[in-house]
Amino acid sequence: MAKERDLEFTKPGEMAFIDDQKMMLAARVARLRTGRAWAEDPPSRTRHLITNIRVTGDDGDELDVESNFHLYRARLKSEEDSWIGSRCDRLRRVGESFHIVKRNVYLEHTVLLSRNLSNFF
Amino acid sequence: MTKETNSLTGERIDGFVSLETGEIDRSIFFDSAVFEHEMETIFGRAWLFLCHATQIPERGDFFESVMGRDNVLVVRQKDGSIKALLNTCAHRGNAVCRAEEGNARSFLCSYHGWSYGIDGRLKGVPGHKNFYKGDLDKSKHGLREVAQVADYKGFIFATHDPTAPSLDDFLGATGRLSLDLLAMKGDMEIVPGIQKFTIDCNWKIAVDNLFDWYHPQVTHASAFAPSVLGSMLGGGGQNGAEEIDMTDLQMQDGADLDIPLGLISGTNFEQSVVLGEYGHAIGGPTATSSGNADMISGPWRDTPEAKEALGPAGAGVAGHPNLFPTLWVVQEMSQLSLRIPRTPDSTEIWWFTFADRNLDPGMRQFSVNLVSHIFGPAGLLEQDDGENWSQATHQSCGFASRNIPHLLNMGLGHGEIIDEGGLKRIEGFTSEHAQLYTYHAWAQWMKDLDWDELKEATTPGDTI
Ligand code: FES
Ligand SMILES: [Fe+2]
Repeated sequence: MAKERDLEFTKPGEMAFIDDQKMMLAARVARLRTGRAWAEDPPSRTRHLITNIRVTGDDGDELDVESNFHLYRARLKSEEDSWIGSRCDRLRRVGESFHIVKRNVYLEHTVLLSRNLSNFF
Repeated sequence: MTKETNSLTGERIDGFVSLETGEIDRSIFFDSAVFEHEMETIFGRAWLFLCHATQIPERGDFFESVMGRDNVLVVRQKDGSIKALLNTCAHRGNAVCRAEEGNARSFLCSYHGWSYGIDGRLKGVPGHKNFYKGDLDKSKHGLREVAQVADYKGFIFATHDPTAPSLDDFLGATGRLSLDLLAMKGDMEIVPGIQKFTIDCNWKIAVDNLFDWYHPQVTHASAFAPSVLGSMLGGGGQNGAEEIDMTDLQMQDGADLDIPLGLISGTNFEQSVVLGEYGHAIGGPTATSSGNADMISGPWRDTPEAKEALGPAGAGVAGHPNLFPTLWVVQEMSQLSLRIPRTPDSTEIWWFTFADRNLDPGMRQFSVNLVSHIFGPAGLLEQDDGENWSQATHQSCGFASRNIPHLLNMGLGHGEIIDEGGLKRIEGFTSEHAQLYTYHAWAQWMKDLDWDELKEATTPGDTI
């Protein structure tokens, strides 16, 4: 079964749920501002819980940072979704803060149990 | 052929769908007896899509697919042929494979250790000599094969019914055209990564929506906004279509919802609907309609092979096909969207994405990216569909709400069916003909007619 374990995640160039460049991320934000983004109207109530933050690389300008997350979404009257997974980020030092250069998100689900992914990870 | 499985009589089934009024009984979306009956008369008999040949190119490659509630291992054999095996141990039912796809030399059951070849033959039984005293006839306890498996241009289908007509016959002109609209775009192969997600809706609501060119302008209004996909979808529009102008949309006043011109729907777009035997149908813009938004494919329709496969009547068709019951051929994005009923109000959606092997790497990357931006759970279009389907399912259940019909009467009585080369089509603008006909065919399947009767009962007449 080792072979199948290697297949758990697709690779760059293959299909992902979300495969965005900056322009597309901007489009997602713009969508929410149209007032007609029905999946987020009324907006979902979400919370990101981040744990196990580890810096795995640091070349002075940029850092590789891994973390685990729990994204919780409550929606409408009685609906809830949970996504748990890990994030591998490349962060750039900018002044006193960091900018996200790149983010890979690995979800624990194979079949998503939610009806969409209308939120940000 | 009568089966006493539950209380669904032919008479009750006939009352579910009216071609005269375009009204559908909402109980078919939540009644568990209806669901059980569907599992038998539709998912127990129809040819169902399993996967594409390019997903399992090598010996031992497998992909786990679903037929009704049976999980099926589609496995490439030593001789290159394909077998579809039920993923259930012949001993006491355990799954013999827990990966969704991969490569196997054998399937080992984790319960008592029976092992099977990739052809399903039972090879190893722990304790065969000591406990079974050699009495167990291994040749009788292999993995069960699905009754019939066949492929059309690499699209693999199977049926549980040994008496079902051939796949070719089942597809007919409409089904073949539906698959050709994807197969003829090039040397198509799967892009690894089948997106799977779950929507809490009845599967028929999801299927009915794929023909629905009435909803994009409203449901997907945010995606088509100029600041979002509007510009990307061709600012000013391909073929002279104008960007959607939603500024005058008044949600509280239905009269104002008739948007002047939309990017892919609206009043001025020529559409064609194709209705086929066994319930296959296609609905949407014509190939030359200003509402047609094929963004990646180029002039593939002009190759001699495509012309020949599509035929003169098929060449103009560019809408959304559904192969009855649950396979949406999203030809403009080179994708398939399979809807898998799990319970009356839970449906899995599986997205299969294809690319032309001859596409240059940059264009391939663009197309793979693009489809994830449009469809799938995070797609800018599809995000907004799920909640509508879920609410349409659940708001239909109430004691009083269930008595209101599910309404599909747009254009009813105006659909003149033209028969050209075996393709039965309706020219016109946005209508609900394809949905209504799909429900009509669904009701015929539910009556458990024999195959000849079913074909006749699902053959379109002169008008709708
Ligand atoms: S159930 Fe598979 S070996 Fe017993
Ligand atoms: Fe939609």
